[in-house]
Amino acid sequence: MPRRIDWEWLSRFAGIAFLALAWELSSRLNLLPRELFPPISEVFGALASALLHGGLIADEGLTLARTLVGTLAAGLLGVALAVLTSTFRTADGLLAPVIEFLRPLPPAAMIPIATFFVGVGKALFLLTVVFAAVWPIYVSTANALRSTENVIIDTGRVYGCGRWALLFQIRLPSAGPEILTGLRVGTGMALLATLLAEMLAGQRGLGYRLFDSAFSLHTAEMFGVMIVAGLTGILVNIVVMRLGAFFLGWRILMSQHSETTQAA
Amino acid sequence: MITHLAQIIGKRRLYRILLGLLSAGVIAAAWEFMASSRLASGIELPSLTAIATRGWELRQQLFAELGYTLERAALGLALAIVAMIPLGLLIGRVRVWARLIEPVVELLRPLPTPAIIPFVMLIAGISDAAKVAIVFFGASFPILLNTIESVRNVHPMVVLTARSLRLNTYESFFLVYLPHALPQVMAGIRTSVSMALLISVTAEMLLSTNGLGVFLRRSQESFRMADGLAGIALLAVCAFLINRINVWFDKKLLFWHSSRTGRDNY
Repeated sequence: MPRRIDWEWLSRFAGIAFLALAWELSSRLNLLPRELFPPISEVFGALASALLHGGLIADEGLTLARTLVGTLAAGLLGVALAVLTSTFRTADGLLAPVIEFLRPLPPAAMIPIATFFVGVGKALFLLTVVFAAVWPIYVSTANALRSTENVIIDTGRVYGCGRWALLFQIRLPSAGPEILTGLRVGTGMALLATLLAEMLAGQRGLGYRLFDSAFSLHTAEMFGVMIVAGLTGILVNIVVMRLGAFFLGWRILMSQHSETTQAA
Repeated sequence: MITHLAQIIGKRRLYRILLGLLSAGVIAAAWEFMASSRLASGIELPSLTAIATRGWELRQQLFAELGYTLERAALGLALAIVAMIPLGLLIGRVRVWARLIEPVVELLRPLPTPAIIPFVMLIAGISDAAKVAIVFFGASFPILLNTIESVRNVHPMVVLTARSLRLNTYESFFLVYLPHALPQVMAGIRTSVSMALLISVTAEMLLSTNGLGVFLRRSQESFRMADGLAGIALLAVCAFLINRINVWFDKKLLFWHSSRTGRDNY
């Protein structure tokens, strides 16, 4: 007996397939200007050749490295700042106005100013990316640290935890999921800032390549690089989620455990 | 006098204000010291008074540029709100649309906003429309995704009640789903508001005609650092105010919702 066609599963691809087909045909039939919308088959051809012998892999690696290093630095800085402001009221009073002033500034606006100070180089990229990624991480961590459940803290006190033990063994671990959320938003911002800095000041990297292929009217390659940029977004998200699962696995296990005990 | 003040505004608040003033003062002093001694490795750091003077001299230009930036941010944001809330309702409640459109959304979502700038540039050049389109793209996703999620999470009891009351499609959209989803939709819009300003400045820097982004870039290229810093300061104040208005508006608009009143309405 032949297997029934799973329409539900197929329909997920219907929208994308229709778009791709419409694009391909309207470009081939010259309904769309072909130099702006090259057929999608050509896009994949250009993507393949750029990957194989156009050095796209090196550019992608550079952008990925800048994004991940920036996120890591921003993560450390953001969590450290959050610990400082949520543990010491004096530190909060001192830092809060500065943070409130800097936080809403667009990272793009920081690029010209950072160029004044550090020139165009590694430091510029790191500074821009960290500036973009640090705020979501800081905000979610600080919120989580301030709202640790009192019961857990009191339990820790009963067991004789001092200030630092409370922080490292109780408050920080219980803020884990929120830190992860902040990191996820932060990586998105980091990738955005990396591309931006590469467009404005780079000589290599995905962002530079996007602009370069657009200005030289290699539209097929430009779309190819856009696809790679999208995949990079997915990739950094997966990296962060995997890290989160590694560090927060115990929490997921705990919540499953509590569900089963509740059911019983 | 200090004790008198403390009685009026509260001890803890006074302490915080004093600390804030102290840190602002320390930073200002350190800045002035660096500016006067040129400690910053050969770079001429303009003094705060120089920045303030330049800001005052250029006030008309600065506000005009800020106006362009805000105008495009607002336009892109408004378009995103108008287009994405209905689309979100549709995707969230009608299965066929969800199947067709959601994969496309998932395909476009991971694209970082700067990645579409070259493409938009090829189609629309450096016109206003190009910049508004980029803001629209960046501001759309938070609103769309939050709307989809929140209408999907409407309590089944509410859906069934609406059905028992024989509300038609439009009535249930406007009387049930939309009000119910509003807090999360507003959260999406809040994210989008700050994104819109950010992207507007970004788009200007790359597709320059006018606006604060262009101003910042020009002042960097011609080494007029005081101008650039004055622009940054204006931008920071503006972004801060937008943030505040956002929070306030959210509180005022949603005072009736169960998530705010703490009462369960089911």
